[in-house]
Amino acid sequence: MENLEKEGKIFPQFSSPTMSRQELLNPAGLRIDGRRVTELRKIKCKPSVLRQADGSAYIEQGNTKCLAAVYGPREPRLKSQIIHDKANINVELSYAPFSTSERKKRAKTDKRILEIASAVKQTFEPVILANLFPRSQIDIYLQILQFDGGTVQICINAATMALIDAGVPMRDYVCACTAGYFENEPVLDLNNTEESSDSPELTVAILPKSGKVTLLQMESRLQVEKFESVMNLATEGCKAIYKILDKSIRDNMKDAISNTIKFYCNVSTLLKEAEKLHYYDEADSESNDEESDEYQEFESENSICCSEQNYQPSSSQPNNSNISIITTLILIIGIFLGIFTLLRPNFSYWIACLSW
Amino acid sequence: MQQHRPQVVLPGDSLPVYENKLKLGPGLIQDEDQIIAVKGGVLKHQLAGNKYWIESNQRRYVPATGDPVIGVITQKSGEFFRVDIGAAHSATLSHYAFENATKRYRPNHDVGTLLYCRVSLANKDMEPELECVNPANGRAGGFGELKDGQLVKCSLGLARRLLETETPILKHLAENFTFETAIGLNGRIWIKADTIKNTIRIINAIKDSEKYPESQSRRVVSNHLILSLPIMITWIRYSDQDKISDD
Repeated sequence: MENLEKEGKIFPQFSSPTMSRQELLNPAGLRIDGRRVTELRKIKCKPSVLRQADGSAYIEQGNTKCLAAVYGPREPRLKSQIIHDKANINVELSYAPFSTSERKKRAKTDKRILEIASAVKQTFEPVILANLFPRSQIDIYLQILQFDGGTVQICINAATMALIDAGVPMRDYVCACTAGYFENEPVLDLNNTEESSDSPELTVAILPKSGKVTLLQMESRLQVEKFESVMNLATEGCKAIYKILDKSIRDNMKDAISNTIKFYCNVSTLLKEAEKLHYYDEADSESNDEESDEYQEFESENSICCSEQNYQPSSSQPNNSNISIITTLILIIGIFLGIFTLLRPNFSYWIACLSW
Repeated sequence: MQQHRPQVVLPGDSLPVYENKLKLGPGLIQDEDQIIAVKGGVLKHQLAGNKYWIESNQRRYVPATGDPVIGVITQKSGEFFRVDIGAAHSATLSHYAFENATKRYRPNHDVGTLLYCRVSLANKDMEPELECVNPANGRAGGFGELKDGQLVKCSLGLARRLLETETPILKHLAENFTFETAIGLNGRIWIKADTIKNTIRIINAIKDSEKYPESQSRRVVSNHLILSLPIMITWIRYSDQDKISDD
């Protein structure tokens, strides 16, 4: 047996005790879903997805999907919830019945769900400047639409985006990430299969700018020597997630303000600002040499963004709109007359129409 | 007076501000030796008084003294009206804060009345207070009850834009329609035009204008003029049919 191992014919993973059920890390160093050890799942996020809420966000981390809505600061529902010197932060979490492979309805009073909600609440309490809104309440509603591990981390990330979208004052972002330890290696961002094995899982939430930790959660045991490497990996994961969230929010905000700036606003300063923020794609700026070109560029950019919003540009130009209105009017009337005559061969009806 | 340099800031961003004396407005706090943003938005600076603040496009209104707002009366008591202005707490409006109001002559407004008023007191520890009168001269100056018309909600950013002195969208609308409007900084717009149809058109144009830059506002308005034509023609057609069946 040992000889075979040395020759590489039998992989040592097969004989290790944790591997009794499933192989979490294959010989090539890849995990069940094909990721490497220090690889995050793919993140997609979008702020401002709900119309009714004061702030909202949708985020996907691999196959885990979460929707967050923030309401407030608003008047507390119950008198007993009033805190006289700061806002009460209320977090409610729910799983959609179709979120897991086994369809079932979970009660909102499920102890496990309440625990996660209170962990999210405790994470945000030191970050939100709640003392600015005494005797009011900030509600954070979280819904897991699809579940594949990492509930706490996705809830925190979604809530951060929604809170920023709502304009609730916060000291910093809060970004959360998980890390585990199996096959003698720290592993980043566990999915459901990896979570449900016996391996330890650590959830970390940090303020990425200052590096302060607001949440540290682990429910199993891990040797002290190994802890630091896992913690470092999770922190790195948080910083990577921060970059993705930040880019998404900044893009969203820039879209919003590009509509509010006046036409005469100097576009070149705007482009410079964008470059300063490191998120501007340099390929676009190369053609902006002359001022007049920039105006055109700016115009065309806006028309692109309009077409995304189902904007139906009329044939008219903004400069000679009055003339074009008349031409389109004549066109439309012409078309309608045509349809009328086609649909109604009855000529007397048509005469009646005209005389009216 | 005001610098036009749109700089986007997000929570946690520290500002490159090194002056000794400055005033921080909403969205900025001092954290030890640096100034950090606590809200997402555009950083604004006013040279007079060296003021910095963040202008964000949020949906929830936070009262500030002097803001014109549109409120709905939710409760009536001996001395006060309780008015919902969309903030965290409902505001109070004294019966005496109206034009020509005295102990004998009190304004008679029912629950549900729309009012255009000014925030006279805004403090985080107290309920906001409103007034419908200019305390300097005792005149209403445009404040008071809003009769008829239609109330719509919008984002705070749009309301702020519409209240700026030279707003192209309102200018272009005024060229094409006759209407009355009141804009509250709490994200509420009240509009009354000559016909209900025109009111709806104006509302749609204003709501659309948020998605497009101000340079395109003429196009937004003309768009709504054109889009309404097919509807008019179908209406004519149906009214024709009625006529014929009568004959």
